[in-house]
Amino acid sequence: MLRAATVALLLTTLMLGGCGEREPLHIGFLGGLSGRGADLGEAGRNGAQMAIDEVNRGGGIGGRQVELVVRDDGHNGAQTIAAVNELVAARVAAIIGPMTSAMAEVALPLANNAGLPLVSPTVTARKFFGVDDQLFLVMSSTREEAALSAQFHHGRGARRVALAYDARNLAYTESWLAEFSRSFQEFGGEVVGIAFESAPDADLGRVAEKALAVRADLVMLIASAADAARLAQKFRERDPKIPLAASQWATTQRLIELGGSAVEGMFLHNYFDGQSREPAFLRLRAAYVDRFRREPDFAAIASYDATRAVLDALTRREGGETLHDALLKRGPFAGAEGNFSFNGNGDSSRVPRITTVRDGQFASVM
Amino acid sequence: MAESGASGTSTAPVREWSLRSTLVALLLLASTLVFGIIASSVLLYRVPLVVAEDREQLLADADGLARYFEQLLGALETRLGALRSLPDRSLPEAVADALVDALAEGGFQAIYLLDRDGQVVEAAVPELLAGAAANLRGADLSRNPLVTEARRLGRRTWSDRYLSPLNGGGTVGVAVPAGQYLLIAELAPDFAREAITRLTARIAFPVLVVDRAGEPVGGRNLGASDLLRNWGADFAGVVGIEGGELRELRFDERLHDAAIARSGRLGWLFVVTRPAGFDNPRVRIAVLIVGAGMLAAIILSLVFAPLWARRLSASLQALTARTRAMAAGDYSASVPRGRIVEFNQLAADMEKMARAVRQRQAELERSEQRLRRSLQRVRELNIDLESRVERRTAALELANQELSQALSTLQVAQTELARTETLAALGNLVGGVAHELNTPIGNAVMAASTLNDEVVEFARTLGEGVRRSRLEAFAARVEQGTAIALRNLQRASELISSFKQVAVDQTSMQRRSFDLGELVDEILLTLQPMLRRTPFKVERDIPGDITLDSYPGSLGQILTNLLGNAIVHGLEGRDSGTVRIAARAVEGGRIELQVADDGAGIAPDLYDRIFEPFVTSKAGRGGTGLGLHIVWNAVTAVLGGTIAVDSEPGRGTSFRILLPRVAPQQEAAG
Repeated sequence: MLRAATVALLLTTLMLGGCGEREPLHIGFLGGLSGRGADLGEAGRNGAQMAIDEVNRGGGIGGRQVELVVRDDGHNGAQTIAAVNELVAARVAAIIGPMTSAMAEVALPLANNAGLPLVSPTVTARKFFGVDDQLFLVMSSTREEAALSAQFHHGRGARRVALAYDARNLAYTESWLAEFSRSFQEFGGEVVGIAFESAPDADLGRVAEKALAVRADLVMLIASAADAARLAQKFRERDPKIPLAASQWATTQRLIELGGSAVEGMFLHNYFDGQSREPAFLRLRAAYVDRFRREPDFAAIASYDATRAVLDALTRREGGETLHDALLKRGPFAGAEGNFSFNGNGDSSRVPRITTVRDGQFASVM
Repeated sequence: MAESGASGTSTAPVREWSLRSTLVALLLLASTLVFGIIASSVLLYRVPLVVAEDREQLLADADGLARYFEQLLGALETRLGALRSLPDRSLPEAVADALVDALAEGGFQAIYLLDRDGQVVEAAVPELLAGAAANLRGADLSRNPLVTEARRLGRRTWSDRYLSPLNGGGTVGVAVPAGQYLLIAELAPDFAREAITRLTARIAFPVLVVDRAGEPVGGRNLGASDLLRNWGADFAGVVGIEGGELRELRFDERLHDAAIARSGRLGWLFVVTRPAGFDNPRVRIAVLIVGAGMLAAIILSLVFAPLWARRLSASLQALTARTRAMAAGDYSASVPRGRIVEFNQLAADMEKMARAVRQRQAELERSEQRLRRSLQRVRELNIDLESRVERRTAALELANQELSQALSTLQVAQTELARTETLAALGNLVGGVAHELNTPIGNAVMAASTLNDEVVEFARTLGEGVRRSRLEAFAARVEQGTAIALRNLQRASELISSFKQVAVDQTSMQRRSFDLGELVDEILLTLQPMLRRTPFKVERDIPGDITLDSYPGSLGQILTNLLGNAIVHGLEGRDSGTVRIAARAVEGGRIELQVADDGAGIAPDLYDRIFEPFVTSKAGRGGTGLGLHIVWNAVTAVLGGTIAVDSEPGRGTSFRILLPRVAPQQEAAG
């Protein structure tokens, strides 16, 4: 009798509260969403959101919907630390990001402490490779990219390269410089590095003049898309013919939006074939355009891959496996352009490509 | 609570509740249920009303926000529009100054002037970033989405959120065609936030403005993630132009009712929210009030129920006290009455029950007395019976003794009779012997006498002279006469020896080895006198080599009796008949002896008892009925064999005797 009364009471309360759904699963995203690196951050966030929407449409993971918890690192160390702590407190299963090596440097110790996997779509600095920690990398390192670049440009006749690099992201740019220098020197070439500090009011004209003074056959820009676009413009003002190239960091839509004609014919790097005609990839691309009203660039695709790996690992893990171990063991994972998996250190390996800008669009070269 | 089995075997003990607890629980349940129903009904009516009111308010707020933004941005647009004609008319420095002035008026973070090819001709930037203007001049923004959009539409247009060429930060831009040129201005990032804050100052819940791609333009009371993430999926399918739409959205993990209004001009969505369900403060208050009321009801019932229960149980207590007294055996006192009909009923019934019990008790006592008396009587009868039994037993014992004596007397008589029979038989035997002897001796006497006469005659005639013929005749006659006399005397001698043997055998019970055939012959011999007088034949079929080590006297007696029976009983009244005596050896060192006649047979009613003493078909006519019994005795006790009879009236009688060749040892009998 009393039992029946309790049940009646419970029902009344439930009616008001509204029966809740199961607690959603949280995945964190950390990237630059303000300031100069916002193009990478935004693309990364969008790519992650695409992957999550896909999984949620399929019913989520174990019946739970997935939610993206977004944090802005503002390409700022202190902000990064605060953001990582917030994400840890929000009990995310993993963090997609950061998008830049400099912020990865800051975030990694915290992630290691918290035992939280950090799956970065775009970090490629060599020093992060070969280390067994919480950092998972979705693309090959600067070494592979730089080696291909050295080979390609040497093949096109370059013997001396002026390499302008952003000192605000040394973790990445220095790595690129070192790898490229070594590879290019093996071919018998010469590399001159020119550092600059990225800022809205940086004197980019002077950087261009310094680089041109080296009399190089090629100017290589290791900078963000915005800086690369403006630098390209400065170079073009002074020397319309000099070959220009940039690393993957600059290979976003923003380069074209900000560079316009200055970046036409520029050689860029990509780990993804954005022109793939695979139906699955086309579908993904169409969905991205439909949702975000712009084309997906490498950051978006890499972030999509990274997020899919995390979500698939969460679905496939068994027993009391940690996500870290699941990511290492439960591959391969289905990415936008094919399957990939992590080696024992959480590194990946992809084939680097050369891209160029043609008629305001990226086009594959090799 | 457990139930005991219907069959009577209980499984688990039934849990008991006191009356007070039951009443309290009942009252509690009743008040809870009642209040629960009332509360639910109230809330079911009230809560939707509250929610609907709130939603109306939300829609109004969202709409208001959208219009306000349109106005604000419209004003900015107008300000920019004022510069439209400048580039064509003025010198570049003038244009630059104008741009800077326009920037100083606030609201914009940068203004660019683009030429026909999309190249930045002039740029006005905040003083802090003065150096950036140099970087921007000459930049080719022809591929900038805002620029391409403005070119396409050919009119003033606002962008969605895009990244500023100045500092890369996310902002919103407006493009105003200015003749050959294009004026691009970027909103200061604080602008949207301040505008929203101004309008929604009194709102404590999330407010959000998103562009057409779902990117947040600005917001208020939002978590960091909500302000940074893309809302495209959440607002998919929202039109929101006419009066707005309502949706449920999650902000900071909590569900909110959201009113969404779209600005036709900007294409942006303006979202004003309020927590849904229980988080809605007005709903929460309503529920809390109702809940408090319910709690009060419960508390009141908890307070009053025990009091009332106590009153109720008091009446019951009195009743239970009385019942207990009755259970202890006190049926006398009356049962108190209270104020509850059913309990008074119970009291009355209890009194009735007590009365009935008393009556029953009295009856029981009377019954008991009667019973006791009956018992007493029974005891007396019992004693009487016992003495009678004793007497009867004594009498019986006496009778038993007498019977025993009679029996022993009878047994003695039986023995006597047997002896008499034996003696009689012996007498018969002697008579028979004498009779038998008579003949030969008579013959011998006659022959001797004749001879004597002859001799005398001869002697007489001797004087006169004897002729040879007469001498020969005389010698022949003498020979004849002596032969006859000799023969007869020999015969008499044989008879005597036989009889002697038989007598010896019969009287001395001597054991010896003898030939069966010889014995049978001897017996037959002694029976000749009797047999001769009858028309019956005696067949003898006895092999010549059967030797027995046994008691010939007994065996002879047996044969005599059997033959006698055959003649006297079996073949009585017949003018022909045969008695057959046969013998053969059988296994086990035994002899089978058969004495059979084809006479009348034994009557069926005597058949089974034929070997018992005093069984005769000639009672009163000279049969003692002991013959076969003696035979049986002799066969079994003396000779150690068995005898069986097979008879059928009309067919004849056959006795079969099985004897061991060597008779068992006997003690010397008298």
